[in-house]
Amino acid sequence: MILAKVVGTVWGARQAASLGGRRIVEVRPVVLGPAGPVPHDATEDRLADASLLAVDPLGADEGQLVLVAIGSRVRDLCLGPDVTTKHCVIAIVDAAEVVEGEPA
Amino acid sequence: MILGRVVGQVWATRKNRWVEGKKLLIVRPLAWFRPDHECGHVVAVDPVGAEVGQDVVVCLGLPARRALGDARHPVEASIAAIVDRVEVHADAAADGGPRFEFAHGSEPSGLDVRP
Repeated sequence: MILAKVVGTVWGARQAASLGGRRIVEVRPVVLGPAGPVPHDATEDRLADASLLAVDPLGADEGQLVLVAIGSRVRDLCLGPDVTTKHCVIAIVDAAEVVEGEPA
Repeated sequence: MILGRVVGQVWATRKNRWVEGKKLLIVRPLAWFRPDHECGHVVAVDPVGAEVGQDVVVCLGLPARRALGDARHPVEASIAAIVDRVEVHADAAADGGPRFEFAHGSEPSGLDVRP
């Protein structure tokens, strides 16, 4: 899974039947910056240049950080085998704290 | 499987029911990891109780689901082990291949380079 930020929603009047009107969001992966001893939230990290489209059964809003699971088996388990995607939102993130702790 | 360091944790209220009650850790890969998208991290479910700062082995794909006790979890990364010590043999690339190096200039703790 990767952290990504929702940057938009996609609507399509004509779509594959298997999509069944599911919500599709455009997300950009978070590029994890260097972590310091002071915790910061992953929302402060920059976003990848590339964006990808994920099916979102949870209803994330633009600007929210989400957890995106990737792969066809994940899609089978999360949405069903007929849905034409490999990216699925499996959680809407409340907080994602990043800190470079001392190795135990 | 990949080697990485736990650098954070993710909290989520709204989530797939299969990840309810699961600890989600942010892992920065220390060695090979080539995701389709630039991101520099992977989020893994943690069934073993790893903590921030520890080096871990992250299992990817089907074994990641099996490690959670039920292959129906819609996830593709889970923590398989907490690393105590890593041994690398300096002459492992003697066949002319590239010398093994850890990513981001960071090495796992407990690294032991053998001559």
